[in-house]
Amino acid sequence: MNTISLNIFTNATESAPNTAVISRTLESIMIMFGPDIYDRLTFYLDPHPGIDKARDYYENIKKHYPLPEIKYCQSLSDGYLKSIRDARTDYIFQCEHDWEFLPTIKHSLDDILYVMKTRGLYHFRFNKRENKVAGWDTKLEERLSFANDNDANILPMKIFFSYCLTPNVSNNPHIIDVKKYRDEIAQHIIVRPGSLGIEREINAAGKYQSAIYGPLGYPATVRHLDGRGKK
Amino acid sequence: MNMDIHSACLYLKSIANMNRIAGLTDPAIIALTTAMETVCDYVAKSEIEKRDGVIYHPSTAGGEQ
Repeated sequence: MNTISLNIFTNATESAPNTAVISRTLESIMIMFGPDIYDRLTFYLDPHPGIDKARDYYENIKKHYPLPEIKYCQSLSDGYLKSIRDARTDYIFQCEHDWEFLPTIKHSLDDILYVMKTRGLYHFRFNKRENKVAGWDTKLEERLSFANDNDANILPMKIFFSYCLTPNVSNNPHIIDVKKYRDEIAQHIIVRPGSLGIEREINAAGKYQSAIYGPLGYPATVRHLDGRGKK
Repeated sequence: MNMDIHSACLYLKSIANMNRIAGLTDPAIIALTTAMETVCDYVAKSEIEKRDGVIYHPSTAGGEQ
């Protein structure tokens, strides 16, 4: 059984101390993947740039979600590295505070982890747009996964779900293989301010791929709520 | 070198991370790296606990003036 925990990365934006955006993110995750993930949730809170509002934001998060631990960090990359070091599960679900998960996701976390494990995928992402060549997704290759992927002797092969490989290891909501990151990929991450230091640096290594949920042309599976300024 | 406390912490954290990437074996370096990370986390915690320009102190919990 593969294990996974959820990390929500947040910071004190213009909308702090209002927690509406982070609540919407968390609720959509629990609706899509089940409420059990709440038991394996950690918040990573960067008090910048709104330091004067950070304490009220912290207290509001604590009031709405009293059980999960809230860990302090200096930036997204700092919290991201800390989350890899602190992980106690095989995989970690890395999500910034302002995303909504859409009902175009038709598989459970167990299904996705099964495919990640059998296919050796170390970064699995939910796409904010249709699966097509655009932005940093400069190349997409569709792959099929099978329910009996780990035993080729079982026939017929039953199609599980499709995914696309891309050279873009983006910060958008994603699941990572903790061991692969601890052993190798984390060394490319640089502690930088704000949300810098992760995706651009890993992509610059030029040797990593991400998998995106769904076949070519599949519609978006997440929507960006943009937590920077909306009240 | 002229930098604010946040930039200084990011700088220390980036050095601490480089130490960890290099693979720590020397106990003195491990202790130094851990200390750097602890101090930076404490600064972030203090920033969160700051209100109206006053550093919130645990001893005033429940009776903050």
